[in-house]
Amino acid sequence: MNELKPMVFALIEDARDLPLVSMGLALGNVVALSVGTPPEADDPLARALVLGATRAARSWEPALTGIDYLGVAHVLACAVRQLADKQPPGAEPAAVSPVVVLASDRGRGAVGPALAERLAVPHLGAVRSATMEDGQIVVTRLCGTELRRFAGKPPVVLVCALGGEVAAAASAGDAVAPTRGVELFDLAALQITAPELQYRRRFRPVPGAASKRRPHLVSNVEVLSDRLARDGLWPVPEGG
Amino acid sequence: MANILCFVEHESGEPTPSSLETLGQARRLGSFLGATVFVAVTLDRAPGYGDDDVLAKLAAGGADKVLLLVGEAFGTDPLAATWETHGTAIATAWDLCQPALALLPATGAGRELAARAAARVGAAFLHEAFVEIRDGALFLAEGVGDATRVLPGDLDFPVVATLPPGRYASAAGDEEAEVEVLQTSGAARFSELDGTRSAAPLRARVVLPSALASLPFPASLAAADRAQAAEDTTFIVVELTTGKGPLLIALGQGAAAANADFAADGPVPELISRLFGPRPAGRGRVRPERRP
Repeated sequence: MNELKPMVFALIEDARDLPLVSMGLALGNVVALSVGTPPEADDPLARALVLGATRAARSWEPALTGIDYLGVAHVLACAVRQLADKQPPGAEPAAVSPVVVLASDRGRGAVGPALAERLAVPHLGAVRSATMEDGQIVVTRLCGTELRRFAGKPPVVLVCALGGEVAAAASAGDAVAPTRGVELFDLAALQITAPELQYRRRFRPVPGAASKRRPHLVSNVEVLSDRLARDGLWPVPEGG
Repeated sequence: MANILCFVEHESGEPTPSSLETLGQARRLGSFLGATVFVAVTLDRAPGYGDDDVLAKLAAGGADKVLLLVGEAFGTDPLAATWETHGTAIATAWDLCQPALALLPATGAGRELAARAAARVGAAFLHEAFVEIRDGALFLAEGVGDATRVLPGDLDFPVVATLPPGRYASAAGDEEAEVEVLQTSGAARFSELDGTRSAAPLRARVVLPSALASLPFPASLAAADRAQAAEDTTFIVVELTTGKGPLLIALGQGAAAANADFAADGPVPELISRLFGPRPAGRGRVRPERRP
């Protein structure tokens, strides 16, 4: 029996997230999603379509302004559920359809895990690559200073550490002309009310007095490398 | 503030340095705010006679109460922690102490667990945060420079924050702590494949163009503020890609003034050689795989 390809959602905040589309194409059909980011002249969602995404959808309304990571995750979860429900005729029901969400870990990296919580599915962070093998997703993750491979069946949210090599892959490859434009979906269609989102505004930190890192001064760099190794953070030169 | 929850990573019973620093800051905040410091620590088996080292270290590090969460899924490798394996433990600890503030070290595991722990209870989330007492009040912020973002100190909702390695010092506690042992379970749908571990290629970005050639591995130039990028700067900042995200290490004369996580003072070439040069066998190598 042929395994059904996963429906892959790539969360695109800006152009730096476009490598997620290339990662997703290795897994299945890609839907590019954006919440809370306004359309721009050089719309990354339009570029996602050029890169091979089959659909691209955006939610952009005043109620989304200033909400925190969990508010964004709530909207995304509703969007993923709704779009997954509207799979082509003959596809598996949404309850068992394999859904994979790709998010970036740039900055705080909080939206991916929060979305996983809202969807009640596993998430894995620091993902460097993902492939489909025998109906399973095989994920390479950066764990400390090591690359480790994990395997399992979707659904899953993969929070991806986008590196230079992935970005290069996104710009390479054969671009295909999009056959559809960027779709807009409003909060009403997702059965979300403005007050339930605006409630999350007070959870979002706001600009304040500038803080500065105060580096931990070490007298001996060997001691520093030892302590970082104990934290699982010390990278080792190849052959070192 | 009633309770502060601190999640501690350990390897074979030895708390990691960043965990002890996170606990130390929780201790200082707890003492100032009159809060009880709970520590959640996971073990793959119940502690036996003579296995009290980790408890003694946590008590000495500032814990008031230690929640020992026991379950086979935890294993002994802190780098292997995922929400699937450790989420139940964090949820159990959270539900037991209902903290107003939860602190995790900003390591790879901390990054894996913290945001989801916050989302589970609808808490605010701060990444690589400043969580300290300023002007007699609780100060909660993330980001540096113009990117600094703050939360109000008089919170009426819980906050989960990760603290970067090196930002705060460890602390000394009473050397006695209450201990509660809790059995938990976790089952991972995504499991690690045997025999597939490899060393991650080292990547770095530096803020001084002339330093590019002095590093013994490929590096690129990072965006930096003007002071650090000036050619007459006597220190360099190396930005390394790690499991937790970027790690900034300043090397050179005046490095303590750098915008970095760690700094070492001395001649740059010598520091680079000592930090990145060949090291004795067995140090910092890929860990052997330990599977049940």
